[in-house]
Amino acid sequence: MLQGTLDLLILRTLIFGSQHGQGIAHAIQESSEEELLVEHGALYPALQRLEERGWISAKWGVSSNNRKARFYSLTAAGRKQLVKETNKWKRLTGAIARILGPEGAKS
Amino acid sequence: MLGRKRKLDDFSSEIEAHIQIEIERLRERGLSEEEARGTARRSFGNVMQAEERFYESGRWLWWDHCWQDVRYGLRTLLRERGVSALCVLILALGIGASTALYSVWKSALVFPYDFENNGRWVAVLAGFNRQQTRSWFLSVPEYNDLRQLSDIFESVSVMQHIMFNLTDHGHPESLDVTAVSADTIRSTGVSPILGRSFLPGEDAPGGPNIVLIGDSLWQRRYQGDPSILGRQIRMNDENYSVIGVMPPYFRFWGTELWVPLRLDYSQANRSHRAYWVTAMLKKGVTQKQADARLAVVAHQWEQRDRGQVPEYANLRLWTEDVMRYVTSSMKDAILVLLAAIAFLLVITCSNVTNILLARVSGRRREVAIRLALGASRIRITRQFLTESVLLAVTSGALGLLIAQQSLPLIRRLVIDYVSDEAREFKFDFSAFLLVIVFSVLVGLLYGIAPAIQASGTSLTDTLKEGGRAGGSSHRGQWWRKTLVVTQVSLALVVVASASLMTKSYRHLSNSNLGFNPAQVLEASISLPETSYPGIPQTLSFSQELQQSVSTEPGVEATGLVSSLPIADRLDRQDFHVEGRAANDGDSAGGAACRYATPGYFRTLQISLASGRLFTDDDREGRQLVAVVNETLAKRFWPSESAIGKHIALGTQYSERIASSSAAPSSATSAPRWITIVGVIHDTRQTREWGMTILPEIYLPYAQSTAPLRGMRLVVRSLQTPSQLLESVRQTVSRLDSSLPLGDSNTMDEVVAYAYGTERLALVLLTIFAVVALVLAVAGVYALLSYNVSQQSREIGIRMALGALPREILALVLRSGARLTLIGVIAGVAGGIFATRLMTRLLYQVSASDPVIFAGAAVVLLAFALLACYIPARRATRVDPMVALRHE
Repeated sequence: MLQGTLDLLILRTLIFGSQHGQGIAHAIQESSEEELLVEHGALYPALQRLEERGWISAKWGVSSNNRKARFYSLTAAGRKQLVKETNKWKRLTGAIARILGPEGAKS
Repeated sequence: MLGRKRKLDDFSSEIEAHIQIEIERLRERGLSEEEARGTARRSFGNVMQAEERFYESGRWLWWDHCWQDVRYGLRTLLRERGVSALCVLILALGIGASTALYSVWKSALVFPYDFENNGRWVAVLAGFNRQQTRSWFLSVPEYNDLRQLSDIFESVSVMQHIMFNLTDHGHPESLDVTAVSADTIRSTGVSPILGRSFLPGEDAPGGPNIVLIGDSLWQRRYQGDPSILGRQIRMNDENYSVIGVMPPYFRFWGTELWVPLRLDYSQANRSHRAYWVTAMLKKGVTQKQADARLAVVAHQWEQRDRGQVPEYANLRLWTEDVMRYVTSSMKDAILVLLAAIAFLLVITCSNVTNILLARVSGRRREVAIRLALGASRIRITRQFLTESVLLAVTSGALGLLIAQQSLPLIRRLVIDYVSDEAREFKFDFSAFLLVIVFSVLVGLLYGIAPAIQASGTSLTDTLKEGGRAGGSSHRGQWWRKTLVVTQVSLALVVVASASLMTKSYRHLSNSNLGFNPAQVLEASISLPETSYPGIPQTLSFSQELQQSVSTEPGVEATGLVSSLPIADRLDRQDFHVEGRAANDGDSAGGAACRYATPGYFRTLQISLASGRLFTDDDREGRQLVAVVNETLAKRFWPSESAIGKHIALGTQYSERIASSSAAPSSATSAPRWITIVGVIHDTRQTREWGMTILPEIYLPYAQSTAPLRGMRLVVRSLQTPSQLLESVRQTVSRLDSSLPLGDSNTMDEVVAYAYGTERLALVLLTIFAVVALVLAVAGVYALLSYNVSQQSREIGIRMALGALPREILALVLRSGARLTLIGVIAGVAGGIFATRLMTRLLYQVSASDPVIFAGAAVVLLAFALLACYIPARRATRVDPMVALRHE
């Protein structure tokens, strides 16, 4: 996966409400129709990074199947960052699509 | 920074939770427990790696490195227990001694005078014509005039010293009391620890009889009982109610009792100067501006009152900063002690640096290996600094302990020699902080040199040497030798300073007193008014007392005096010389006046310059006679003999203010002429060092016009002071069983007390000198024994080649002696320069006294050579075979 895309995907996933790491990984996987496979080992350092930047916040809670898990949620700064990143991403993919021509626009 | 960080544990448990959830999800899909676990782990990837990535991303790394350094440092320090212990000991000694001495000088010389309004509190002085007599005392009309100067003064206060007999429960005591105008205490900015201070108006005539007492008196006489407030205490046969207790360090003008001063404002005699006038400068008014304004006032007074007040010719009025005046005599002592503290610290630090430098060269191999394994040079430097700080903190703690333990010891050494104001030695918080800051700073400071040297280790060279610690670098050696030379030279300066002080102190306490304090005991006695109402009773008691004491075994002479030189406050009186205008400039400052029995002069061995001393015939009804000091005789009769001349005494300065029957003004009655029959050599009068000698008048005890109830008995005896005191006590109680014996001291103690500042500086400097000497010698010893251990190979080779033990001994001794000698020469050169700082502290000793410097040099050389001898001996016992096979 491209550098920086994981951050964007995490932020995007959290817009629907707080979620634990495992849930985030699955959500990304499912909503991308299993196209994007998140290496779970890479997920946590990314979460850590985002938390440190203040884009997401975390607290321990209980998951749907009664397990202790750390739940992440989007902060106001994270929301702003998501808009910024999304725009950036759209610009970038748009540019790449133009270069690659009609075939490349699919992805 | 710490709060926001997650711990690694937290992170790990999150991953664990993730894997558990994954496993459950997979099992829901029908996988077996084992399969699910495997798949979950696989899909997560490397757990360890994730954890590591997390770990390195954080600042945890920094702390962990620190912790690592600390643990490693502790292990190293413990491995080299001997060296570490030596370092800690030296540092602790240096830090401890400095802290203790710092606390002492702070509480003895600085703190007691540290009132809130320092700098604005001034005394108003007057200078009269001719002799440039300056008077600290002013009269009531003069004070009244000064009170009007609200443009420069915020408040003007007035005070006076008086003696009170305290005669409530317990034994009677005669105490100095300061009578003050109501706002005086408040203007110092010090508040009572209990109760209140005087309110405005309480000093008005007819005001209440109230008293403030000092903490020491409260503790001593009333056992610190808080119910003292409101209690009546009996002073001079009147009841006073206690309204407050002042804090321990507040010994305002050396007294423990303060009462309101009731001034009779109608007093019109401008020459009756009995009051000490101080003022608080208005905010923003400088002393210079105040002096300029006072000059105008002085001119006005001179124009207006010159006719009635002849001493106003060329009158000057000016201010003195009270606190600066009080501490000025100690300023030099403070400077010298501060310099000594600094020297001691430098010696300590260079000593420890030296030891650490030696250790660094022993650890080059270890450093090289760490470098080879990829440690950064910064990391190595940090490691060494950490060790230094560890040492410093340990030593700081130990030093604190040493300081605390030695404080009572130092206190006991100097307690008799410090002023009343400074009896409480506090281990104050600032000294504690100073130690903490200092020990860490020192740690970094002395750590830097070894650390830089260590990190500069060349990798390949060291490893190629095969770990031989032998050839330590020339640079390092040069450094360490310089440090040893510095130590020796600084130690020499401190030792020389202490010796200078010792010599000066010996001069000071042996000369210039005008009397011989050895073998003399003094004791104060005050007779209660009830059983000794008049002159006949007091006189017969004093005669019986002298008679009985003089028959005690071993007593050579005994006598009585109304106030003792140095020990007592001066009893100043106006006086008048026949043929001169009253209050002309020469007599404006008044004279110290004492009543004495003939035995007094014999006891103190006060020597006569001309004429005669008193005899038993000088009594009531005979010619009135006086003995004066040379200062008085020379001032009035510079070219002729004073014998046979006449003087008269004016109003007593220390009249009782509280009593309603004020002393009759002397101006109205005809002068009572007294004939001068003898002139004595000047004796030292007050405790203050450098105070000019006042004219002094002795009158016969038996010719006193008032009953003398407060007296000092002096006894010269071969007995020990304690034996003598016991027999005097018994004699007194035989004469009057209800009569207590007051304060008693040997005259030597009285004198020692008078030289408090010098004595304090002397004791402290001596402690410094001993510590400095020990440290410097330890430094020489450490360097040489290290060198010997490093050179054991070389020595082994020499011996194998046939060198004699004697030659080896000489070789080692020579290198030690050379270093010491350079240090001594540098020390003498620097010392002659540095001790100039002490010039004003020294009495009849040159700051560059050659004998002292030579002596200090010899002492240092001797000790250093002794220190060299031990490693040198060891060198001769090197077994060539062992040395060569070594390493």
